Amino acid sequence: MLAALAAVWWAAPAAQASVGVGVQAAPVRLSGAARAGQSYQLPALAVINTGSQPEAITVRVQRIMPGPGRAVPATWVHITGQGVRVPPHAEASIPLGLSVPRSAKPGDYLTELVAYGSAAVRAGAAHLGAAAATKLEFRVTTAPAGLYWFVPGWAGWAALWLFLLALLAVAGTAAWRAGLRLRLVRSTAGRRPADPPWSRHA
Amino acid sequence: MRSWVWFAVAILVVVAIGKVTGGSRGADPPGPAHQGQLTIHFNAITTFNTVTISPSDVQCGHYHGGKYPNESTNTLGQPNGMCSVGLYPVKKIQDLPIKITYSGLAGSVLIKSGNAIPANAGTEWRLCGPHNGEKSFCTGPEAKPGPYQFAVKNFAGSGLPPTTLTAYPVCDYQFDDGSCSAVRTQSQQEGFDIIGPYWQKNPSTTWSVTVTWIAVPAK
Repeated sequence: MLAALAAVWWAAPAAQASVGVGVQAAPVRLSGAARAGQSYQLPALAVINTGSQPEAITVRVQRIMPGPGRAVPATWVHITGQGVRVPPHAEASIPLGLSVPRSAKPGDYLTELVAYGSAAVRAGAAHLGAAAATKLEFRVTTAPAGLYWFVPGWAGWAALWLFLLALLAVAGTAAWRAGLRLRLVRSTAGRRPADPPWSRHA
Repeated sequence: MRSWVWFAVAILVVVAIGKVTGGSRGADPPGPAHQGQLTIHFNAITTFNTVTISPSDVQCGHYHGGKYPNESTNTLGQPNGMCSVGLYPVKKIQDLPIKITYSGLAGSVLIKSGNAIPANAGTEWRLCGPHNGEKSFCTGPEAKPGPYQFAVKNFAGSGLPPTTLTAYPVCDYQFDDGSCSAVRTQSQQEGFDIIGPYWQKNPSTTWSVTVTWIAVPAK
């Protein structure tokens, strides 16, 4: 019996440690276009630890895949949750911000946000690390910042309706001055209009 | 006077129409649910792209190489001594001790390596690769690592020759037998070789290197 238990213990593989990192598949996108000289809050980045031990996950801005769009300088992206401790098989959210300098050129921008696990270097061993990347996309426009930020969205529609009303008023005034009149004729109640000449009565 | 009143009323009506037509866009927060509406909450599967490596820590073995009097079978000899994590050519699955598992939507697996770091915090060995126009090419004889340089090559059981790693993330061609494409829960067993410098004088006998696999979304 003891020999059998010993054999099972010897044959059983040791619990194998693993490292693993994941990141949301959907790209991080800024809702609407960014303007030079402005700062924005980006949607938080979701990360996950798929390894068997706690990880401290850090996020770097790295352009690692080809694609259209200007590169994003790492200094534009503010990552406030660096080194977040994530237990095994748990998720975390890392807040992100974007500051577009005044000198930014207009156009589409693309980079990757790469989440790295805490692959601590250990002397005497080859250490294996895991990381995962997702895209960060946004557009910078040259439109002036102006007063848009405190003007409500419906104000544009109201302005459009006002413009149409004013246009109608101007057109009506012009028509009146040109002598155009709309003549309204009201028939007397109970009086039958004259029959057309082609009608016949018995 | 009455005409001004009518004009003011017309303006208010137009503004109200604009607000209704504009919907909920803009700065107005959505209001509470109206009577007769039903809000349904539900959960959807989370979509992460992940890569998981096991085991997390491995030792380099199968030391060989170097020339008399600096050859060795238990440390990296000089010049260009080698050690392996796993064994190439691959004859059995145990020759590939590292399991890489990709999970998530279709994507790719990239790979990169860092420099070799000595335990004494002295001069590092810089990663080098083939002379393909990059700055970090190997400067030793026969395109092997030169002084204070080293190279890392990964391999799998696909029959592809080992691939030299770079400091920059590149496609792990060993992952999918010639490509780095990855689909949900695809895995691969891999190993790698480390080729030491032509010569170096750092007294440290303990070195480490970090190899990183990166899951990336499809283009």
